[in-house]
Amino acid sequence: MRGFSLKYVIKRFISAVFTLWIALTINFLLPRCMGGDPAEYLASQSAMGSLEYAELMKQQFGLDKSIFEQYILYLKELLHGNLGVSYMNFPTPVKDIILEAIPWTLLIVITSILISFALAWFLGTLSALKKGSFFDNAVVGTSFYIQSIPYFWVGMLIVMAFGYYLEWFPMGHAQDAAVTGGFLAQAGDIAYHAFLPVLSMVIVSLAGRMIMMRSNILQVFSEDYIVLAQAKGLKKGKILTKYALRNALLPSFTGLMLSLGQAVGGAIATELVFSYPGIGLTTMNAILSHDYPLIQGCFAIIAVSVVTLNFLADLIYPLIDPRVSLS
Amino acid sequence: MEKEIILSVKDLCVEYQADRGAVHAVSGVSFDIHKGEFFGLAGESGCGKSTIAFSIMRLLKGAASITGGEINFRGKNVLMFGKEELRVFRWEKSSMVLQSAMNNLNPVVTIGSQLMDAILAHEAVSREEATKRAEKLLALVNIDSKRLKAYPHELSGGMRQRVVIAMALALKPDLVIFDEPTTALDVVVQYNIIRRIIQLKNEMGFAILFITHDLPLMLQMCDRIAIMYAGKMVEAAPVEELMKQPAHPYTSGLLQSFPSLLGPKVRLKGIEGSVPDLITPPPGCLFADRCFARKEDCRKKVPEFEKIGEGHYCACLHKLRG
Ligand SMILES: Nc1ncnc2c1ncn2[C@@H]1O[C@H](COP(=O)(O)OP(=O)(O)OP(=O)(O)O)[C@@H](O)[C@H]1O
Ligand SMILES: [Mg+2]
Repeated sequence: MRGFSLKYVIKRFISAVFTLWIALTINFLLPRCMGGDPAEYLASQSAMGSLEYAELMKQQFGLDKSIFEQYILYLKELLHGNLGVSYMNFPTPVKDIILEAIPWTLLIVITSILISFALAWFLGTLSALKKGSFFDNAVVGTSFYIQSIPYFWVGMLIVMAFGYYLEWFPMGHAQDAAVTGGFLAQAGDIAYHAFLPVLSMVIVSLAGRMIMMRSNILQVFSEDYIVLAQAKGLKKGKILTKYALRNALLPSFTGLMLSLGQAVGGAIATELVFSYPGIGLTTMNAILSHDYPLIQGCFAIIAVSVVTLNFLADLIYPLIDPRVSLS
Repeated sequence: MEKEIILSVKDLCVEYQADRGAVHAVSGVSFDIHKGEFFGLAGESGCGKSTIAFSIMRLLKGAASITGGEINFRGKNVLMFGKEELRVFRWEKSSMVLQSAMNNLNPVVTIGSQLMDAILAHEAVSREEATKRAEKLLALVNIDSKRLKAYPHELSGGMRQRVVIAMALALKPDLVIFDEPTTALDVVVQYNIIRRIIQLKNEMGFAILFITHDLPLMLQMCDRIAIMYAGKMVEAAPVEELMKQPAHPYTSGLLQSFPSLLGPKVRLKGIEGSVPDLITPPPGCLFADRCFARKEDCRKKVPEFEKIGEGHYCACLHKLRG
């Protein structure tokens, strides 16, 4: 009988925890290798910029302790969900900054991933079914063209066209403080702001996924079991849904889970182009101002989401593909 | 007493559109299969055997087109069938087991479900009824009915191919086409499967079109054999007659290139040379280049596929017998 074997779950779990620990350790070391002294930077920025002030800041943030002590402190605090206090936005806790940024990132990234996969599956299948037709050629041609354009270019073009010249959509931010009113008005405003970022991400990610779905379907169609299903006199719709689609979708399921895992950290470019206040923009600002706790907080949250989704994918995949063993 | 002819292929021509031009994969092939007959189709790799099988089931893919001939099933031309007629013909009248033993079944659908699909697509029966039928079908090929819920990868290669055979018999067709059903299996498994096929054929009375390049295997079990070369049929005859008195030099060469288990010790001979290009075939007899009995006219005149005895046909200008 098929079902979860406890051993499989535990094995996957241990491997996930181990991966996470490695990622978090690198996360601790990286900012410290970037150079630049945050305390001096802070001091130089503040009105009473002085060496004494810098020393004071160092003590306050534990930068005067040995690197090993800092590491232990870092892990201990992390386990308690305490990500420290931001240097730049002192004394706002990093946790609060991240909690505020995350929903925005999740909103645009998950929306665009779902739209992109749904469109890719639909158009890719249609394209494969009508292989060689004008539609198919158009889809394949456009995809190859789009795939070669870098994201920044697409993003800027969209901002310029729809934000700057046409003024149909806002050029940045996630919401308009002036919009008050009921829930619907606010939700509408948020969707309005999210439209262009989502559009740009869908455009860029759609092409590759569509081409992949198309070739998966074509590959499955050339399999003997499809020929046999036809020979059996099954109806076309039945052959497509039961004998072809599932086999063609399986490979891209892993792709979907991995994309969702990268959701939190995957929108840096988009958030920069659209000044969208998510984790990506927060990370970028933190790096520019040597805000160690915030950098670490952002990276930690990214690492946790990637590892968690991988773990979930490992658990779900055997349930949808009988060939993958659970033990 | 002649038995009823159930399948009659007349002058079948099939071409594949390739970059270099049309590949004449099958050119002018004719043969009949009688009710309950075990008919063998043999020939080297690439001679067009599978193409014929797929033509009969109307399963040729885009690059292929039937450019001539007829395929008559009980007097009706399969090539003229409309959508619904074709759907009924497929599996109710004629079913098939494909070349690669391993890929006949969808890896993510249980074998029970795949068996039942064949039944449910053609008969208005309940799921319970279909399940019962599927269990009986598995029993037919000696597989425990509990395995209905198994996925293909949970079965051995031999078992999988037996499942496909059971599936082919689900609707009691008149004709079952086997396209090298046991090539990927080891000899013992292969032997067991073929023995079971023969038993089932004797019980159920379907006719078989059995395709292979394993001539010795074929000589053991077929009633009649047709030999193909480069898209053409060169000889067709009842088994004993073909073994004793092959009329075509190619048949004779084939018979001598396999060791006989019981016969006297002889020197094995292969056939030298290679198959002609099927895009621009040479004039005259296609086998002329490799033929030990070749004469002047062989490269000029195309031999007719003509009757030379009771159920014995041959296409050669200089037959080895009258
Ligand atoms: N899609 C295709 N495009 C072009 N030529 C093809 C195509 N499929 C088959 N052919 C050619 O048609 C000829 C007959 O192929 P076919 O598969 O019927 O041979 P076969 O006798 O079944 O061989 P085998 O014993 O290897 O299965 C071969 O010469 C092959 O090269
Ligand atoms: Mg073949």
